[in-house]
Amino acid sequence: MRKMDIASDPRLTYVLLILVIAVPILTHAVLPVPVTDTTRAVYDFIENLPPSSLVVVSFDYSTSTVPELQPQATIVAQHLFLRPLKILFVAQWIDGPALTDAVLEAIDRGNKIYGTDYATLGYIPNTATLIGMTADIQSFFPVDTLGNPTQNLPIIKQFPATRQAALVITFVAGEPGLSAYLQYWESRLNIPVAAGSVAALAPGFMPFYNSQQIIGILISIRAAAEYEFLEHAQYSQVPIGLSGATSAMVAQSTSHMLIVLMVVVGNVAYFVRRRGKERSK
Amino acid sequence: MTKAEIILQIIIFSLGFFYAIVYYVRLPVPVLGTGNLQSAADQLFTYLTAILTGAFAIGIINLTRAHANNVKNRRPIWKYSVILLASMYFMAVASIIASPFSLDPQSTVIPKGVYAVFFSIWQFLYYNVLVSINATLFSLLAFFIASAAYRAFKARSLETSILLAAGLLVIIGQAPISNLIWPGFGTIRDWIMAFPNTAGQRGILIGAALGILAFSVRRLIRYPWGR
Amino acid sequence: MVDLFALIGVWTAAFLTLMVLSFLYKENPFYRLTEYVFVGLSSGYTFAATLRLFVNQALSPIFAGQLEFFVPLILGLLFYAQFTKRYSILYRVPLSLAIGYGLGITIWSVLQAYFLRQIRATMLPLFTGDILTTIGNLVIVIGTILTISYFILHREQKGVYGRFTKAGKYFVLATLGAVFGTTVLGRMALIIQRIQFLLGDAAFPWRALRIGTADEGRFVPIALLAFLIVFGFYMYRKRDVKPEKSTKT
Repeated sequence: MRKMDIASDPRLTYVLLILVIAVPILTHAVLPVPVTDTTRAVYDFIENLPPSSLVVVSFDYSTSTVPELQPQATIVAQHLFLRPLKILFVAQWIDGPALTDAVLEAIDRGNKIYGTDYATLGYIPNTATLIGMTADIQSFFPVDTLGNPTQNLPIIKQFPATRQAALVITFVAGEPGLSAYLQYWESRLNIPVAAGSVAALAPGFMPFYNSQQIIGILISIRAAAEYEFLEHAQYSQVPIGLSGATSAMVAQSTSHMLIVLMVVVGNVAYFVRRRGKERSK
Repeated sequence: MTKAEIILQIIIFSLGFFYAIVYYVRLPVPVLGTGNLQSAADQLFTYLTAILTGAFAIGIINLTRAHANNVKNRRPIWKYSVILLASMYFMAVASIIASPFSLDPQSTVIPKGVYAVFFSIWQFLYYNVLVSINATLFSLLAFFIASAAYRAFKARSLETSILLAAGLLVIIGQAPISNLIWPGFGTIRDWIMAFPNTAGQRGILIGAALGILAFSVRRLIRYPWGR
Repeated sequence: MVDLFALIGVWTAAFLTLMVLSFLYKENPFYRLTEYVFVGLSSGYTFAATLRLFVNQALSPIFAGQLEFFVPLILGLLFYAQFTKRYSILYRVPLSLAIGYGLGITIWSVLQAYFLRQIRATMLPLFTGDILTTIGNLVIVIGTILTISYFILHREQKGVYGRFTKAGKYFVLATLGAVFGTTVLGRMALIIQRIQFLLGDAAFPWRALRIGTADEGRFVPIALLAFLIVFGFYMYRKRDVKPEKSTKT
């Protein structure tokens, strides 16, 4: 029979990974998640925005990173709708508008009225539009995603240009994304920017957080869980589990520990083999 | 350079130079029917956007040519090409009729009943098919990371040891359960991200910025000359 | 209350998820099929999106009376000159416009956001009253300078200078380690949500992803069983067949 071990057949590793993830999911365990400074910064900033401030929410990711960013977008959007704010939804990626609709359907929109308190403008196709809309939204978005002329929307009459925004929060999985808002909105017009990022890009955004070019970063699904706990503590009507992030935290922990274990075991095996070879010489 | 290349280079330079200086130079010069250079630049953006949207069909044309070729010449993957073309055109029609990019979202021309049917079909194709496939394709990477963790991540030298140590400390710190084992793991993770990582990333960022600036200026003036 | 259409959608999503995951066992036609379907669907959707933009931003102003938009319309249509032999060079005209304005806005924006602001943020006090802040500031200032020095390649990195650049290399490695660590977080999040879905977990964000509800989710394991039967039957049929020739062209 062919020898089967982790070194020769990676499929055993795959089975192990599936098991360490599936078992915690089946037990429905929930783990409290300590809140990091980068997440708290975003939460506090939104919580302290003056009433009737304009917030621009940008969906800059595709269906491939939905598991990391859709929970963030859901829980942050719920927070925005709980506060007396005006919200414009845009997207720099083509999948953005469809994912925006999914988020809006999942949250409780309260008594906010479409067109007056929030609107979905849709896809921003290039930097020309991104820069131009800071001066005049209607020229670049004559209609919204529902086909309504933007000149008739009360929110656009109140905020005809995005330069008046008090915050832009971008859920970003690559380019175009955060860098576009930093280059063309924050550096030129001092519009505060927050980022909800996939985990792989988050280390690259730390210099911007350190230089205060962004006010905070939400890092992957873990930040969604942290944000959910923060929001539930203040707004008890927001259920734990709205974003689906908290239920994943135990499985996240076990899968991380498996990776650490595999690295350690792999290195121990490597050093033992190397020592054996040196001795035999 | 040929005459055509010279004309194209003039276009690149003039537009590039204009946009490079317009946000630094404040001149109340009436241009393009506006009061100043910045307003003219913003107005020009509407025209540039209109130009760039003209390329809407390039992708679909190229894909059709490539896969129709496979079908015509009966290449081994021709059946897959048929499926690709069929799904592409069907999704295009469904999206044009009923999606966030619908051409008639308020059903002024398309009957509401037709819109409703196509909207259900589009939702099915997008959320049940496209999201599922795309999210799962990306999630395969998790398995490859797990496999590589055992086979490839070896501390063979000081350099790899540093990389592994930083990586393992961040992995442990990211796991919510590490806070129950020892709260210091989270603190270490935050410190690594906030200080050594920030320093390294900032150095890379500044270097990349210099490279981008140098390339942009070189391309604007077509340096080195004579090539 | 289970909705039949939603249930079919959930089963389809589960079956497709498993077809992609079957790649982990072995490359097979099920996986390949999902690749082609994915490319087809996303290309079709992209076409619809870009068509809508074209109508909104190039055609609608003309119908609204702004006849000057005929010029951008014609310039935009020059992109299709690449499909002709004789006039293919004309497609470089709109491309040059895009390159020109792109280079121009890049110069001032990158200078501000990536260069000046980052350098300003590195100008930190090296000795403060608090020991932790002092150490942190020293790490950032020294680390940034050393990392930049590592990428200066026009001069040979040896001697005293070489030792500086080597220290810069260690900062780069620490950065890459942090990236590796966070990447693990991200990738695990992706597979965790897929497994939550396949197990029909009620905590899966059914509504936020518009894939039915938890009621339909309870029946997902049926799709899991159905796929195992179909895939098992396929592998059984293929067990004595020689591997296919590569289909790469």
